[in-house]
Amino acid sequence: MKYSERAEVFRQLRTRYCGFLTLVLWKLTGDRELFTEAMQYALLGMWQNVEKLNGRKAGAYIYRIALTANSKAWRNRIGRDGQISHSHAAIEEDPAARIGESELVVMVRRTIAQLPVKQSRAIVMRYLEQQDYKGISAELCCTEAGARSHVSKAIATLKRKLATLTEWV
Amino acid sequence: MIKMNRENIEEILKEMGSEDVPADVHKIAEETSRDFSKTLMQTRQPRHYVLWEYIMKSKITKLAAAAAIITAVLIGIHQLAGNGAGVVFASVVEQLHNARTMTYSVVTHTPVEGMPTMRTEMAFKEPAYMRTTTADGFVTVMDWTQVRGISIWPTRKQFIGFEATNFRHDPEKDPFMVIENLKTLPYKADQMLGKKDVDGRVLQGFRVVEESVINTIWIDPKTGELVRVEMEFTNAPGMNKIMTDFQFNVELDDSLFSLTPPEGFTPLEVQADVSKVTEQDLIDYLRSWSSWTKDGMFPPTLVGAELPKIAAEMARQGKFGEGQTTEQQHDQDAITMYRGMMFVTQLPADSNWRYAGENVSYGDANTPIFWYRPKDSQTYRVIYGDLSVKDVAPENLPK
Repeated sequence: MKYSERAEVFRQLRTRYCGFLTLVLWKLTGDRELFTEAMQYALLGMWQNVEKLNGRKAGAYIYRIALTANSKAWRNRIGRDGQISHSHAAIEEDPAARIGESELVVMVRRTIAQLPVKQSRAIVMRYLEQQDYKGISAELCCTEAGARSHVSKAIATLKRKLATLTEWV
Repeated sequence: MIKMNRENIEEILKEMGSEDVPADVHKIAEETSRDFSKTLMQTRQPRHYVLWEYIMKSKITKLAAAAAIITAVLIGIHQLAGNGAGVVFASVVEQLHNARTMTYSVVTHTPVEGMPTMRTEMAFKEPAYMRTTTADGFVTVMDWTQVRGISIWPTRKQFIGFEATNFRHDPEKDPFMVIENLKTLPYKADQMLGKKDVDGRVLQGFRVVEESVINTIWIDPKTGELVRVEMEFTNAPGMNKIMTDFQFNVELDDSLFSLTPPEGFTPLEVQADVSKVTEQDLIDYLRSWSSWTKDGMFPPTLVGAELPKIAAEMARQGKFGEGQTTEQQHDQDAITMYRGMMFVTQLPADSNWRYAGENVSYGDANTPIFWYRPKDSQTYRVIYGDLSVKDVAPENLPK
């Protein structure tokens, strides 16, 4: 594909998916700096894969690109000790009252970034995009039962990974 | 410690889903998107300057993004000067991250006197195949998609298949972790080491310190080639691996990673039911090993892909029943080793087993060399350097 063609396809894709990327990446990062970095990675991913995004499977590729971008941004953010600085974890609304909750949310976000793409996609569709199982099954090309299974497995993995960071009751 | 359960997670996820995206975040997204596109659409300047300018203007873009963009769009931008050294490093990291196949040579050195320095050829193929070949032709293939492996002794026309379930994701046992370590190196090094001359090439050094691994990466700044990686292990002083001869994305035939033994090879007969291996098998293994090494030292590590290679090298040096021993004794030594390894690899994660026998000699009754918690036991079994065993309360375990 010529450079000018790539640029035009990229422009169309950017227009079409910018809203989706903003929604998903913000909910997965919850932090402006992290969000911007993830957004840059996502745009780069779109540019790199522009040929693949010109067909029927574009939606699925965009999900993969968004989730990979999110993982990369978190990977850069998380320190070698696996911890994240609390300054990055802060949530602006009434931070004093929400400190415990914000810590949990950051842990959940960080753990989602470490899930396999299929599982993080199931989480994103079900909870962050608030799709019903019918919609998820259509996107994932599986039955509704299959979609439920994907979501359930993702939650179980999330729970297992979080178990190393938290005390379960 | 925070308390949470499944409902908590779903609540948090629902809350994350119901939050609106703040207006200023939409603005950030638009600006980021517009800047990125603007950079791509600019005139016919040399593209790397355009992209470089974009990267430098972006207040929060890290070197990672810089490298990714440059690597993606440009080929052969490794000749950057000054700050370019970091970019060269990042582009090598990107190459590692994206490698579908990878081959390299690795020389492993242990501080154990009498333990040979081994050179091994490694081959990796996505999604999770590995093949190692020692200098004398001993081959081990691991297929993590099936969590199985096979070791092949070409000179003896024998093979042994094994399950690797308990190796997975255990840094001490999983050879794949070395690959994963390479494939997940951060884009930014902790330290730049300057340049040094290696075999007539001037290389730029970078250091990345992971939890228990110190990686020193040497790159040819002129070509951008990864030339050498040195790994030191903080929990195994004196042990190191030096990796060279890297090749990426070369075609590696699937047959190289086949778990089917070559035609005409016979299985190495191991006492059939390894599910019945016991603590005594481990003790026998440790005793045998200490009898093979000078000064009666125990092995530097108990399990992992290195050990078949170590065993092969020891066999080459005649340490499996040299001279006075028979072929039958030779096989028996290998079986003792295998059963000892199987005891350890079959221990569940919650046994909390630890090995501390490196640099300990047989006979040291005061030094614990291995401990684990048997299933449903309140106490640990601790094996000492004289291979005696005691039951020890958790609070009295070695720190």
